[in-house]
Amino acid sequence: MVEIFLDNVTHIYGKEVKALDSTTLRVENGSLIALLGPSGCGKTTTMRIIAGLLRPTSGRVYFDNVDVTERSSQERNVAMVFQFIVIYDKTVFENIEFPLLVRKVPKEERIKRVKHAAELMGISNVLNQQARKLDPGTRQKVALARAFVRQPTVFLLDEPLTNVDPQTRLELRKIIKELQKDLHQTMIYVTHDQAEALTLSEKIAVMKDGKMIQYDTPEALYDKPKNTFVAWFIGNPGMQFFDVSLKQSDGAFLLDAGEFSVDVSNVSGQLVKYGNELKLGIRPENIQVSSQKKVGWFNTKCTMVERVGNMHLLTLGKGRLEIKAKIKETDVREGDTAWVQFPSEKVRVYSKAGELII
Amino acid sequence: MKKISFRSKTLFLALIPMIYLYGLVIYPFASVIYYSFFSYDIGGTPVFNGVGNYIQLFTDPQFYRTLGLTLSYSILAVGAEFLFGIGLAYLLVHISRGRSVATSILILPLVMTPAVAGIIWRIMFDAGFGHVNFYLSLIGIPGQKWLIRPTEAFISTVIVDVWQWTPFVTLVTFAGLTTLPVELVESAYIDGASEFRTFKDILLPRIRALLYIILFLRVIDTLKIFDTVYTMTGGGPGTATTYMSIFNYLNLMTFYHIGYGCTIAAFFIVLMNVVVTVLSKKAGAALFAA
Repeated sequence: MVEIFLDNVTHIYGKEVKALDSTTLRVENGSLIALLGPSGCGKTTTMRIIAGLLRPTSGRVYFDNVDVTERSSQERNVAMVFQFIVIYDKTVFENIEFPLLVRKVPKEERIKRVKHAAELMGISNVLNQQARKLDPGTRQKVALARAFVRQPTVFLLDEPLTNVDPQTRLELRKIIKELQKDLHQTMIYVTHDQAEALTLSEKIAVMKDGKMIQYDTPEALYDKPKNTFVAWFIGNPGMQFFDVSLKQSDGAFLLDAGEFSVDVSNVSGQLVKYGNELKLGIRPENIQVSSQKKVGWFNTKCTMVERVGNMHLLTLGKGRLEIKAKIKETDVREGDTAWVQFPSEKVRVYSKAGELII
Repeated sequence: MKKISFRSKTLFLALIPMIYLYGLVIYPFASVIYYSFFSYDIGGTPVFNGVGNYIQLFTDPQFYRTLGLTLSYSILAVGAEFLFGIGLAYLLVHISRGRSVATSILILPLVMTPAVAGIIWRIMFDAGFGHVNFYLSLIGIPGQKWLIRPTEAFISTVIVDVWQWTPFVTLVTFAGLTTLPVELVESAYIDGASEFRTFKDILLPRIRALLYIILFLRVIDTLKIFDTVYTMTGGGPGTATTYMSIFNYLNLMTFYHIGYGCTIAAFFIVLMNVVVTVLSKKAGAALFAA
C-alpha cells in the first residue's frame, strides 16, 4: 500500500506526440481511483508511467514520498492487469503461482496463496485446467488472481473488463470493489467506461488530450463538473448546453436562450462580471417535462421518444434548439406538445471558454 | 463433329493432378516397391527373389551402421540447430540496433546451394591447407584430421549442417516471437520474471506449434541429407559418413544393385513416413491447441 504522487509529469512519444502534459495527481494510500477519458487522452500512458513501463520525458513519480522515477516495475513491486487478457501457456494454478515462483516463495506458502486467490475470483474449480482453453471472462479472472496473489504496492488495472462478457464484467466489478474494501489496497483503474468508473472508484481523474481536467469524487464530477468537457463526458447522455445571455426583466435576472429563459436572480451577482456570453448546462435527467400546461414552464414539441432501460429519452424541439430530457414516466408522445422546466438549482452556468461559474 | 461440353473440359482439367500424382508419385513409388522383390543388377534381367532383398537388408551390418549414423547425425545436428538457433533468436529479440544487418548476415548460409557448401567446406576442412586448421593454429589448437578420420569426418558433416541451418531456426523462431503481444512480455516482467525466464517459460511455449514445424522440417531434411555430405566427403572416409541417402545412392548408382537399392529406398520411404506421421501429429496437436 502506497500513496502515489505524479509531479508535473509530461510524456512525449517520439519527438512530437505529447501524450501527457504536465500532469499532477495524488492517489491516496489505500484508495481506488479511476483514470477516465476518451481514447488517446493519455490515461494508459499515465498508467504505464506509474507502472514503471515508461519513463516520463519530464516530471517525477513518487511512491510514499520516495522518488521512484528511475526505478523499474519490479523494483516498484506493482501488479498490473491488462485490457489484452494475458495468460501464460500453463494451467490456471501455474499461472497464478508464477509471480510467487519467480520470487522463490516456499512451496507450501505458494499453494496456500494460489488457492486463496483462486477462491476470491471464484475459479477454484478450474485450477488444473489449461488456462488458454478457458473463456475470456475466466481467463481475465486468472489474470486478476495472478495480480492479487502477491502483495504489491499498487494494483494497476488497465481497462481489465473491456474484453469480457457483460455478465462476467458485473461479477468482476463486484469482486474488485470487495477486494479493495477488504485489502485497503491502492488501486488505479483505467477505463473509458464511465459507468465502471462511477461505480468502482472513490475518485475519478477525467483526462483529455493528455491533460488532467478534473480529479474529484464521482458525485462532484456529476454535480459540479469543472468544465463543459467533463459535464458532457460524464452522464448518459451527458450534460447539454445552450448559449445564453444574462438579461434583466422586472427586477429579475434571466438567462435568456432566445426560445426560453431561466430565472437566476439568486445567483446573478456571480454572473454579471462574465458579460453576456454564457453557456447554460443542464443534465437531461434534471429537466422536468409535463404533457399539461404549467405556469412558468415553456412549451416544446416532442419529436422523438426513445426507451433507455427503464427511462424515456425525449427529444424536444423549441425553435432552433433541441432539448434532451430523460424521465422515468411520461405520457408525452411523439408529436405532442410538452411543457418543460429547468429547475434553477440544477442549472449550471459556464463561461464562454467552458469553465464552471455556478 | 460432336462439341466437347464444358463439363467434359472441366473433368479433363481435373485429370491433370491425377496424372501428376500417378505419373510422378505413385508410378515411381510402385516401381521401387516392385523391384525391391527382384534380384536385379544392371545389365542382367530381373529375377523374382521374394523377400530375399529384405532379408539381406536386415542382416546387413552396413545397413544398421548407416541407420545408426543417420539417426545420430539427425539428432546431433537438429539438437545443436535448436540450441544455437533459439539462442540467437533470443539475442535478436533483445538487441535494439543492427537487427536488420544481423538478419542479412544470418541468411547467407541459407541461400547457398548445399552441394556448393559441401565443396567449400571440403576445402575449409582440409587437414593441410584448410582455413579451419589455420584459425585453430592461431589460437594454439593443433590441426585436426577433419575429413580423414571417421569421427572427425562425422563431426565435420554435423558442423556444416548446423552452420547452414541454424539461421533457419533462428529466423523462423524470431519471426514467431515478433507476432506475440507485447503485453505478454510486460506482464511477465511485472510479475517479476527475468528476461531469460520470460523467454523460456512464457514466450517459447507460446510458439510451440511453430517450433514443432521447424523440428519436423529439420528432422526430415537431416534424415535425407545427401548433397552437402556427398560433395564434402563422398560418404567416407570408409563408410564414416555414409548416411541413408548416400548408402542408397551408392548401391544404385555406383554398384548398380538396382533390386537391393530399391529395397533400401522402400525401407527409407517407410521410415520417413513414420517420422512424418509422428511429428506432424505433434505439430498438428500444438497448432490445434494454439
